[in-house]
Amino acid sequence: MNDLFAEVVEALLAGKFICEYSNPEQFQFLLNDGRRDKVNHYVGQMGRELQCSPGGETYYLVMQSLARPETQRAVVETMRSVINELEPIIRCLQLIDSAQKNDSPLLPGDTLRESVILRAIEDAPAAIEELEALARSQKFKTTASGLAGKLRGILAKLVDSGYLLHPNEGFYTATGKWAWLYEVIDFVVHHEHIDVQEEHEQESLL
Amino acid sequence: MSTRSLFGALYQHAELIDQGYSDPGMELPESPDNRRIIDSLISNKIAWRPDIYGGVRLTKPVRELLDRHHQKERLRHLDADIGGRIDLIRRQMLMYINAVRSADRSDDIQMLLYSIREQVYELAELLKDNTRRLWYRVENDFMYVVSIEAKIAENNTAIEQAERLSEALTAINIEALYDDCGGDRQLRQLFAVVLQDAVSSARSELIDLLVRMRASLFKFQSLARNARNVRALQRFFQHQPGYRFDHLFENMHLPAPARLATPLLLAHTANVRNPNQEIMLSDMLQGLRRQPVTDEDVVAVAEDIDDAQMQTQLVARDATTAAARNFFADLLSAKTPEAQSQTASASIAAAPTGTSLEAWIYYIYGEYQGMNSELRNLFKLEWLGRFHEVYDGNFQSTDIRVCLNRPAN
Repeated sequence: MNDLFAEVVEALLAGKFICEYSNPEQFQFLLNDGRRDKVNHYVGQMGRELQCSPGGETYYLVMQSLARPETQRAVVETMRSVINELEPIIRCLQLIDSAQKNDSPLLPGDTLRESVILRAIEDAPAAIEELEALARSQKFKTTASGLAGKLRGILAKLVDSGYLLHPNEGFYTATGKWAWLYEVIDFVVHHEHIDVQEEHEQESLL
Repeated sequence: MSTRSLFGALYQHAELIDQGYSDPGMELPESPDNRRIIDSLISNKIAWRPDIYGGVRLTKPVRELLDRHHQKERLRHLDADIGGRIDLIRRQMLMYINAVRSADRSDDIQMLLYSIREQVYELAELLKDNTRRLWYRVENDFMYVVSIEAKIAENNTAIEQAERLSEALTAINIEALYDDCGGDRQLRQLFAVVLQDAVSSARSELIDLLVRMRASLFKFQSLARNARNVRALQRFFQHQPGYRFDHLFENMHLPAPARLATPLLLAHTANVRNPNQEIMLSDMLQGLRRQPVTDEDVVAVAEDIDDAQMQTQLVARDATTAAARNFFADLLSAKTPEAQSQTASASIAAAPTGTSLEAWIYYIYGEYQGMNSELRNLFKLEWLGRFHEVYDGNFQSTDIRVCLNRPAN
């Protein structure tokens, strides 16, 4: 119990997202109200607060207050890098979703097969161009040659960023961090008043 | 492909398509006999094979077409006319009571009782069946439809049906039926036990169902919102590539997800004053010392790198690194045994002015570690120092000695 408590607190303080797929034992631990309160009480003394995504997919820490200038600077710096990396991530997400023929964006627990994505990309010249562009972007920069190498490089970067797990060769699993990212996207879209109306809806209004 | 051939293929292979649509994994049944049909469905874009090792599935437009058809079908099917059935039971009950009162109608009594029993059991079964169907839909995430919008529509329909069913249950007034049956034991047993059980269990199932369906509706709506947001942001970036959202941080009322805590680097320092940890730490340190140096001769798998994209860059070596390299070169060219063994403290003069002994030791050690195994075998390196007086697992090094590793004669 104590070992698991320490593991959970250490992982959270280190900035990890705890979900059912990345850390099943720690996730189970946090499902209990009492244990969650203890963790919250502990991290609360360090100015942090345990947060859960609305669908309960992932747990992570946020700052309780931004009153201290150092905290404010650190939070802004972290979020600036996340938000300014949204463009390549969104493009990558679209590429994966269209290759997987998914109607909704990637969900925690979704399984990706490298061979399926690669075949779908190979069949679509626009997708090949998109993959090449992503492989040149700062976020997903890879020196690998060939479509397969580039795709693997991009997926490896998503693994490094904690968005994917790589349990077996050629297979990837989406983590709960996507649930958090969708919340951030929601914040950006609404704060920036980005038009969410689909093209066909706009046409019908005309 | 022409519309005629599309409809022709749909019509000819309707049974196979229906089997694929009804399959839980949405896969068409494949066999050597239907290989040509499957190929024709794939070439007509009615079906596709997502993966060479996987099965054949119906394409999205075909699934959506079938979704719409089946949606209408389902709406017709889950329409339990509970009020009508209760009216029928009541009418038959009154006829039965009248028949019981008139002594010459014993044949009618049996017929009517049989019919009432049948109606009650049918109603109980109908309630069970309706709740079971609703559970099936929600537990399978409405998998018979594909798009999120269709799932939301299906979920809303299911909620409406559950609410209608729940409302219809209020039409069953078991107490009134019980009172009206005039003390007939068989009818009382039917109403108070069979019907009462069915209604109570349907009511509690419907309460659970509605909670579950509202949660699943929330989930689908979140998915739809995420999908819309992602598409909106994608369109935004298409129009304004490279846009930066720096001004977002002018507003300090950031919501919780945007106040991500800064990761902390946690120190894991051993407590060398704790005697309880001495044996374990001593073992660990000995283990570390025994660790062999990495063998560069082990062949690594070459990365697939495009040389055309590589750029050559010359890196200037700093003066201390050059001095450390000369330290080893001097040892190699030394003629006398004394000169073939050198310590860092004795050679500090060779390091650039201002280099501390500690830094010089690390430079020599770093140079030694950076050699390939063949070169490193020419030298022997020894740490000079002493073990800690109290904690003997802690070796305190004060100098380093390097000598030529001449093979023994």
